Amino acid sequence: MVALHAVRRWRHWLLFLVVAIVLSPGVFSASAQEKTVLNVVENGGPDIVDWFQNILIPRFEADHPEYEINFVNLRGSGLNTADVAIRAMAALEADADPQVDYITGFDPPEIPPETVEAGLWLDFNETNIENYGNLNPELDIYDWGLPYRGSQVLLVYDSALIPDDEVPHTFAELIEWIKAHPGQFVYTRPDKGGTGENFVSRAIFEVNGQDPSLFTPENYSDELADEYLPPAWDLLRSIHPFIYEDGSYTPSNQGSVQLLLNGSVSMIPMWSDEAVVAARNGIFSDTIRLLQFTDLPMGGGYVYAVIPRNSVHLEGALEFANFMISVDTQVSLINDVGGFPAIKWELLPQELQEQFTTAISEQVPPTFPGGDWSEAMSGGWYENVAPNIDPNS
Amino acid sequence: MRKNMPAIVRRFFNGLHDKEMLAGYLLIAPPLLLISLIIFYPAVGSIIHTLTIDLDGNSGFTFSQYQYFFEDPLSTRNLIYSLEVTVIVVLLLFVVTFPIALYLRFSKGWIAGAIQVLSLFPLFVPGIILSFALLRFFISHGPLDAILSFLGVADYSTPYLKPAGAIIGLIWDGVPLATLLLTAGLQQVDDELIDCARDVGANNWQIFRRIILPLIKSPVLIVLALAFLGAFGAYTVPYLLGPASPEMMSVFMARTFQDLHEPVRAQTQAVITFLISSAVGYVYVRTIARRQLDQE
Repeated sequence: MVALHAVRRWRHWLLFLVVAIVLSPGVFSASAQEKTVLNVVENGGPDIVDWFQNILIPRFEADHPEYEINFVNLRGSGLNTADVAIRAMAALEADADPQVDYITGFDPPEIPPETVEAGLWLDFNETNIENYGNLNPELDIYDWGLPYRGSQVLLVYDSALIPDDEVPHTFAELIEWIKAHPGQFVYTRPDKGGTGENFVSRAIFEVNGQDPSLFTPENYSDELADEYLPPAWDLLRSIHPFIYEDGSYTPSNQGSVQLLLNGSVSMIPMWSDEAVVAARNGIFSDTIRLLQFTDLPMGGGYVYAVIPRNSVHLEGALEFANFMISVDTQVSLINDVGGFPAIKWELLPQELQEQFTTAISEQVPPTFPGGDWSEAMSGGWYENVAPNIDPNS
Repeated sequence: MRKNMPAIVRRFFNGLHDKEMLAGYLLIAPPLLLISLIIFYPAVGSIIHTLTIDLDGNSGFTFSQYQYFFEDPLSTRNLIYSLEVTVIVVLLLFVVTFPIALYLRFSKGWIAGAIQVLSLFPLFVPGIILSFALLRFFISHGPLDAILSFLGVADYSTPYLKPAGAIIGLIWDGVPLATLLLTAGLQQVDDELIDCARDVGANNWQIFRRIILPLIKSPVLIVLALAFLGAFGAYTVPYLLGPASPEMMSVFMARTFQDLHEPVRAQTQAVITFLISSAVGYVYVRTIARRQLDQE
């Protein structure tokens, strides 16, 4: 416990140092030009950081000359957004400046619950930011957070190898298609990279009445798992002999993409953002198509932005929030980083809507709960599906 | 064995009175301490852990973790698979590297030099790059597939994501060290001995069987031990090239720990792997120790 405290304290100091260092040039230039400096904290991958630094921030600063963004990326610093949230909470209790105005890139499970309970975050319902009505009402919209980009697992296939009338549009049709086309489909092991996990969880939803609400982070029990999961193992075992090379599963998302690209298979589950970027960069041939089921889609999720109520630049932070869910920014999200937009599809340009027409689902991607459920899914798959041993034999 | 170990122990204590030996002990003290601290200490901790926490998380001396392992079909299947792959890799490694080493020992010239460089090449390639290179080569619709279908072989079945994929990768990975050690061992065989044998009418097989093989027994044992340890503990190659199931022990352990969040179960797998490895390690250490005593 003592060690843990020491680590926490040490991490606070480190955070203080990071913030101090990145703030210092910002403070100087702000005083010179009398601009308000907004501290925006992000914890994204290189593509997202690149998007913020080279596209969004210059655009925002040009539109709003009174503001200057001080962008802090936590990736690689050893800190995450939850640490910054905890620190903002400490500042709230001490009635001090949290030194942060906008935190983006939160996965809802990552947000420390105590910060929500303490009312640290601004309630976006109360703010009346202009573009708030743009949000897709199908999304999980929390008072405390603003969804602004998402990704979900899609089916990606080569239309040169699959005629239009054979393309499956529901999960049940996909299962039939896989059985009719031995070796033409592959999915990644469910513990590696998320696409396999979402394919397997979609199979679990399928055999349980396509009802994701049966699975919550709190309701896990061994009895429930024994009831809900085995039918999914039967289903997945039934397609095992028809998977690539008589039941081989790739060890990474990239492994599946490689098999699709070299023509070994003609259909794979793939993350939407990776698929969009690959299509845009010419990695995919023109015949590659993206598809989402017309019944329950495959899983995925959105990330959220939060604003601490005690930010000293609330007005600017809200301006930035408004900018993030503007149509222009959301179009850039699709075009530049392959993200899934958080706003209503009908607000997007016609051409983009058409491009994504088969990938857009009426329904929001379901999520399979982490923790015990996810362990039971992944462990169960390795015990019951991958070895291809009939439990009754 | 009984003759040797006490001799080593005796020498250790004699050495304490010898200034030169004492300096030697001081020199090896830091690495020894470091190894004790970062390997032995946590290893012993893990072993104790697996014996004192039962499957429900209650403490008290118990074998239940080990009982679970040996009663769980998946765990035993993975262990047997790991042993099978390792034995096949070690045997095939000998089949591949022994002729190379013999050739390098008895030939000179640029071809021998080139072969030596080639056989050492994988030593400088990290396992992950090697895996991806092999993968690209023998994947379905890859170059090997194309060459074979050009030659008329239509039903190529890729080793990628199958046990054969892991085995090929591990052999490739093990070639440099095995070749290096066997060649070095063969260099110690005196040319004169071979010439003498030939003078009295021995043929090549007899020379190999009666002169070379007995003389390089210990390098062979060392190669056997190191190749076994290398393959049995491998992670990257079987993970990237092998099947989802069965899994090699390292891959299984990592998944049990990281994905299933079952640290004690992963530790039990590690202890079992460690015990098998240390039995083989013992062969290696004994061979080295005997060699050093023989040389004096």
